[in-house]
Amino acid sequence: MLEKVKEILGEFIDIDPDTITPESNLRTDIGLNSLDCVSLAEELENEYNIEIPNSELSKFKTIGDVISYIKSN
Amino acid sequence: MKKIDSQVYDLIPPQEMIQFMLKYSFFHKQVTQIPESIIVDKKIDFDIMTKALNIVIERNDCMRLRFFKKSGKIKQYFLDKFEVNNIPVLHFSSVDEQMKVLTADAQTPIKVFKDETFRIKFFTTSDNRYGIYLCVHHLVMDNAACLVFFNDLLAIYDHLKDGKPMPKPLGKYEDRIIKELEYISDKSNLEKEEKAYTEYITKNGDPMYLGVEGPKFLEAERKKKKDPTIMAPSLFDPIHDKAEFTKKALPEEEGKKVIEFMDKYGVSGECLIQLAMRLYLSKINGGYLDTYFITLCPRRRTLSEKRSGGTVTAPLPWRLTLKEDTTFMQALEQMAEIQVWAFRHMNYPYLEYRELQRKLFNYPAAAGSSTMMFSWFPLEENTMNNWNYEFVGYGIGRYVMVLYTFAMKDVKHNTIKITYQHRTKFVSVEDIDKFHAGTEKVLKICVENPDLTVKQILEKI
Repeated sequence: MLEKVKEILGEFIDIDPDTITPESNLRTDIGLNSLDCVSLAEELENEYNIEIPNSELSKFKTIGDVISYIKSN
Repeated sequence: MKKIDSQVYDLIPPQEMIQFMLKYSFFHKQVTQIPESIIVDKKIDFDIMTKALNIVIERNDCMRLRFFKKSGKIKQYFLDKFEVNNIPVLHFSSVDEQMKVLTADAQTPIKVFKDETFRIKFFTTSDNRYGIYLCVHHLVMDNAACLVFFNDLLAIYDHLKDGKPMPKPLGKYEDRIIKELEYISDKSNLEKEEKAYTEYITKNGDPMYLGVEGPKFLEAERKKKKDPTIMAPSLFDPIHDKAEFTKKALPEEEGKKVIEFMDKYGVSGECLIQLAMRLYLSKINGGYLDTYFITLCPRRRTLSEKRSGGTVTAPLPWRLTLKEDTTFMQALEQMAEIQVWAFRHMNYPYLEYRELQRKLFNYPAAAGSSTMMFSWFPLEENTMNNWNYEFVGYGIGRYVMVLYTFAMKDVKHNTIKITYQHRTKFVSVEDIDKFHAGTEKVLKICVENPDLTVKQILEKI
């Protein structure tokens, strides 16, 4: 799943995928802005056929948070 | 009419909003242009910069847009080639002179139907720095596109002057135009969004106008029409459009704390600054906790979109309804949720939303309930190709709405700058001075103690 997340991130942000880990902070390490976070969520929703409520999305801090949410839903 | 060999396109919804603004600015067409400068420490060879500029024009298709009117509608097409030469180079002996001359240009309408879409000037400052001034029509660029322009220009300059690598190609605005026209041609897209927006704006009843000038206009309108239930005063006035451009900045010590707070809690500038403004607004409007701004969204998702020119920004409704026992931190989370909702629905054309709102709340033609249009400019230290820079905006002297506020990091002084473009018939400089001071106070209190409740915050300010 981490690889899929990295692949999707590559569409929005110019980053070396090897630097992305589950501990990577979405904003400070990866450099996502608020719209990027929504774009990531929407792509993952389509990929995994899930819904990420807005209240949950705004709480994601790290890649790990995103992956945990997808796995548990 | 001259023969056009290129594909002709309709305007896309973000451009239609600009057309709407132009339509209702009877006398002062400069209301839809963006004048700004970057001032840099690095010495600029202006001949090389002119060469760089022409390369940018080749790469950045929005700079080759042309417009004409047909049957009352504006149409657009792209020129294949276009070159600029003899860019004026001005030498200013004082900041006052610089501001006076460039503001005069900012307030001169761009003749967008006579093949003028932007003006550029180079300049030197009284403190031996170098400047690039851009005044561009909003049909051609939004602010994000202006930043793309400056970044690309400096990167190409570095390539020409110092042999640094050429920057990657830019995305095409023409591709975006095609995509947006396809989106709106599918009526099911608009129907889906209309449903979502109807639910969003009616769930808490009619929004009420809260003024940075306090409740005087709403109270006056209620008295005049003998109707105490009016929620949106008529503040649209196409004649009295004189506007001031009031620039403020947080004191550096306070600004530094605000930036540290943003970094520590992962909070966006637009959520934090807006929330502080909304809380102060509630205070001066009888403690009413339901605030409503229109917030500009850059709408650039993919790497290609982020690296393209053009106008794609859209104003989105951000309505926040707070409770007295909500903490500042919780309110920030609510703001973030509203932001997410708005971004998920950012493709619904603003003019459609505006019409929907008027229909749902039965507004008369000139009425509106949004306090302001707000925009956060995402300026960082590396925004201008890693050059040290200062960003300067200029007032256009006239405006179509009561208040447009934009905020950004002042990277030179490590603080937050907030600029208010306001129609002085409704919002005076004194109103802005008080409103800004109140916003600063809220920020100071809440950054120091984000666990304060809304009730506690309103009592302290």
